[in-house]
Amino acid sequence: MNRRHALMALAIASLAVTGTAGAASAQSWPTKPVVMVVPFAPGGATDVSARLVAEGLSKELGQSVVVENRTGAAGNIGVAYAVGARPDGYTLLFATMGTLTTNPHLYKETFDVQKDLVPISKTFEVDHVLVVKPSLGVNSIQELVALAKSKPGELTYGSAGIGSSVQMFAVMLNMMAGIDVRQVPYKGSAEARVAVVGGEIDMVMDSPPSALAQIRSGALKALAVTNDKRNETLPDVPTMAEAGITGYAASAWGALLAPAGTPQPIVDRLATATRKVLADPAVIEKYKKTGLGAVSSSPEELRALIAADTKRWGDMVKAAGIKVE
Amino acid sequence: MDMSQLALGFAAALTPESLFYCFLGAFLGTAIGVLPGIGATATIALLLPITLSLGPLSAIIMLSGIYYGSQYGGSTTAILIRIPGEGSSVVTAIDGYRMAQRGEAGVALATAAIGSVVAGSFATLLIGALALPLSAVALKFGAPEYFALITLGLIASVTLAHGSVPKSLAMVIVGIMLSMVGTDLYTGTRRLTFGERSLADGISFVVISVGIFGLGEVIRTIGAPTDRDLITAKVQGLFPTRAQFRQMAAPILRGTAIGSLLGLLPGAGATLSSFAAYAAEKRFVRGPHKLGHGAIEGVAAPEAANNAAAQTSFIPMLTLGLPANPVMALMIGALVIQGIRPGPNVISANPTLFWGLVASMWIGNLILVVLNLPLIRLWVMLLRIPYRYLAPAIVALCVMGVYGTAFSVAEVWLITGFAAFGYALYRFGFEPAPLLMGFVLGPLLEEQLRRALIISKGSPLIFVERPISAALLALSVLVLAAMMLPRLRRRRATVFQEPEAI
Amino acid sequence: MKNGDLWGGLALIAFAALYAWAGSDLKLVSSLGIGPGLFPRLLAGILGLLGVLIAAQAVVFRNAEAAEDSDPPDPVPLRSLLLVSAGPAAFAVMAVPLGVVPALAGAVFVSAFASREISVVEAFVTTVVLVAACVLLFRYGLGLPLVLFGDLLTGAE
Repeated sequence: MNRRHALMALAIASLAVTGTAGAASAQSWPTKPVVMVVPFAPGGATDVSARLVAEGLSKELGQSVVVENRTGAAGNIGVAYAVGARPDGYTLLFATMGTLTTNPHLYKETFDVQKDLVPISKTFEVDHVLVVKPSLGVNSIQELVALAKSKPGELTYGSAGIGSSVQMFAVMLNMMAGIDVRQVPYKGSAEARVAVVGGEIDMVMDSPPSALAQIRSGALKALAVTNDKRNETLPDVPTMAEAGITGYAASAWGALLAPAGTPQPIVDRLATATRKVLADPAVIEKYKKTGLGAVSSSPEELRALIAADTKRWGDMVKAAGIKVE
Repeated sequence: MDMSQLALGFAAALTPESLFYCFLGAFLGTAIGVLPGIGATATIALLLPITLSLGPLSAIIMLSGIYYGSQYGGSTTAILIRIPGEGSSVVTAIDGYRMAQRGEAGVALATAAIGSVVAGSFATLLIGALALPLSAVALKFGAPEYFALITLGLIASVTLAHGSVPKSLAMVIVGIMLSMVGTDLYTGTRRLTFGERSLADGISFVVISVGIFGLGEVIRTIGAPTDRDLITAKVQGLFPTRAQFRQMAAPILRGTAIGSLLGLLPGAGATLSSFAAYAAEKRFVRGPHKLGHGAIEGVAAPEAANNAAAQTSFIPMLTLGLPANPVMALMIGALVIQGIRPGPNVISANPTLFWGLVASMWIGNLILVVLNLPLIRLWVMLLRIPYRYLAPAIVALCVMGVYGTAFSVAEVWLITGFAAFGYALYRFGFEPAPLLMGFVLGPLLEEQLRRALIISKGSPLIFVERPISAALLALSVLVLAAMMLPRLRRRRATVFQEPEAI
Repeated sequence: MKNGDLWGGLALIAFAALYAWAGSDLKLVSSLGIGPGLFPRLLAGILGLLGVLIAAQAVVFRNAEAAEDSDPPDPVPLRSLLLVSAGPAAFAVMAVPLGVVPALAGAVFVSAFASREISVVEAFVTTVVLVAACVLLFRYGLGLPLVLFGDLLTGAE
């Protein structure tokens, strides 16, 4: 009873402040299915994780949460769709590091991620592993750096397109190790990885589960993982920092957001529910199989993360001279 | 091949559960494949939650059933209403649709089904016997090799048309030009999008296919002075005759061989294979029933080829984790979430899964035929509906299929424009098939060329230093010369006579 | 058909020119070598040349072919051209404000009249049947998130 009163008070207070009727419905929310917009195609890691979160949220909220894939333009179509939706809590956005923090530096868009969206919670984290072709003859990051320094501009890394985490993490290595490894773009990380196996290019930053089989068979050599802690799939592979690239720590992530103007009680309720979902051992287990780490955050932590990564990748984009005309 | 392993596979694939999902997949795939446009995307979105909750073998059996089911469904629309569901059935639309116009839709559909099952059975055996050694083929093909192969393919695609060489070449070029719209992979620049966000990923194949092929044909058919209903009334036999069976046998075998080989190259394989097979038939087929005018060979060979390619493309998918299309990407996703990693040891690590899948592919093909032969009667009956009702129905399905895929109003506007464009092509005697080939292969051509030059630091020598690429490029030059010279000399007078569609 | 080739060739030249103009702001080189503008311009050039070739052939061989071209070409079927194209256009205009049901109904109804043989009643029945079938199939069968009636009709903001 108490909680309901508190909510009511909150609703009335925010009604007074914003002067809209939207908040009044916040306490009864959700009364109809909630749409979770995913800006990527079905079946990918982002989509799978979104579906797991949606499934969990459906149970927590007692209303079905439906994933809607609005793909295209490096995720910008889905983000633009969510930004333009009514901020009533019935449209959510499941976006990624790339769409939220790299794209703004690459594409002129009609929206501002940090102004037009409100953060709810971080939803996953995914490490990358640096793999090289065995014929390159290097066994550690140090040897790779030495080799790259001895022939600047000769070695190549595969990227999954301009602004992809696969590229950004390699650019970061270039900058921090002071080497010049050239980018060769591919349509996706699978294509880039196969190009390393085939010997066409020298290295790629891939996700551990996709590279695992070929690392085990010896077709690829794993040198380091990008995060600041080791990856459970590849416990023998050191982190970048352990391998000697001090200060290197990066992982791609996903997050749940809502259009700006979504009533605060709804945002808070979603944040609490998402945290619960991501603590569920069954969800964690399914995440692990896809190579994702189940992490959640408070809305404030997510806001800070977005701001920090936006700055970090902005600096990287500028320094590396990546420019989209 | 280890026969005991294959027996293990059949044991796994013949359980009631596997059979059920195989049937379900093939059925759903066919049903959705015949809706122009919507195809694989909707299927995936629809079935993803189900497949994630299935066991690995059931999931992948069902997904692969959907995959070849939708391929087959796409050929059905290519034959019936001249809307190829995807790049690999463009070629089928040429002769298949002509056959349907002649009242032989049933024969064309049966030929497609039979060609598919024969090719599928052979390719299945091939996967069983040689999956691992064959996976090396995909690794041998780097950027220069792909570039050379696609160049050869595009030049050969001129043979798809039966009119003048310059006009067919012009269509290939227009196709490539249309394919340039969208975000440039190498710089992220949005090309020719006119600031329209929904064009950032380019014009979709479905929009071109539905607009130029499908609606353009509707405009022509309604506008034609001949009453279309008179033509559809004279439906002939539903099933091929003995003579027709003899006619299709060799093309099916040739198509199977070509398709099995090209399927090993993800990305370009399935599309290239269907018209490589068609181009090959051009060399072999003689006589009055010439290719391009509704020849049974023109359906049998490409359908066998694209189905064989669809099967063998499982090799790079399973052994390298390299998907040939979005459906296969989803299959990889479904495998990974079950804890199975595609890779060189996927066969030894998961023998039941691998051999079960191989066996179920074969069973799936059989199910497709059993499923589709009775359906042919239904499809042919649909064609008997007076065209004044059929035309708005085609419009409705096209519009919904396109809008339902991406909810993009801009794409619906585009089909409006391409419908008129398609009719203009017909008026001026340009054939749309080479345009579609250019559209499908053009982006790959540019992508691989630029990648090869990035790798070689700008030196074009990379194309002649590598033996496979050098050989393919030499072959391209030969084909081009062989095509240009005799035609210019010999057939200058007749080459402009466009065969009118009935 | 010869005149057709002349016009066809000229149309190709016009398309090539328009295309080259639309892509004229794309850079020819980039930091990765070939730029995004090279291929489009190259293709426009090749197409222009082919257009010239096709048009020239039509002019040169006009007399030789004239005898064969005894049949005058059919008139352009303006009615079907306009109404079949108008169908999707009607859908595009109405889909977002009014929703899929009215938009599809408009599209089907308009395009039904592309045929001269259809009566108003027939067109109406065809529309109702097809809209119902499509809604069942796409909205409920495939479960696509289609907005059946748009904000303008449901009275939402």
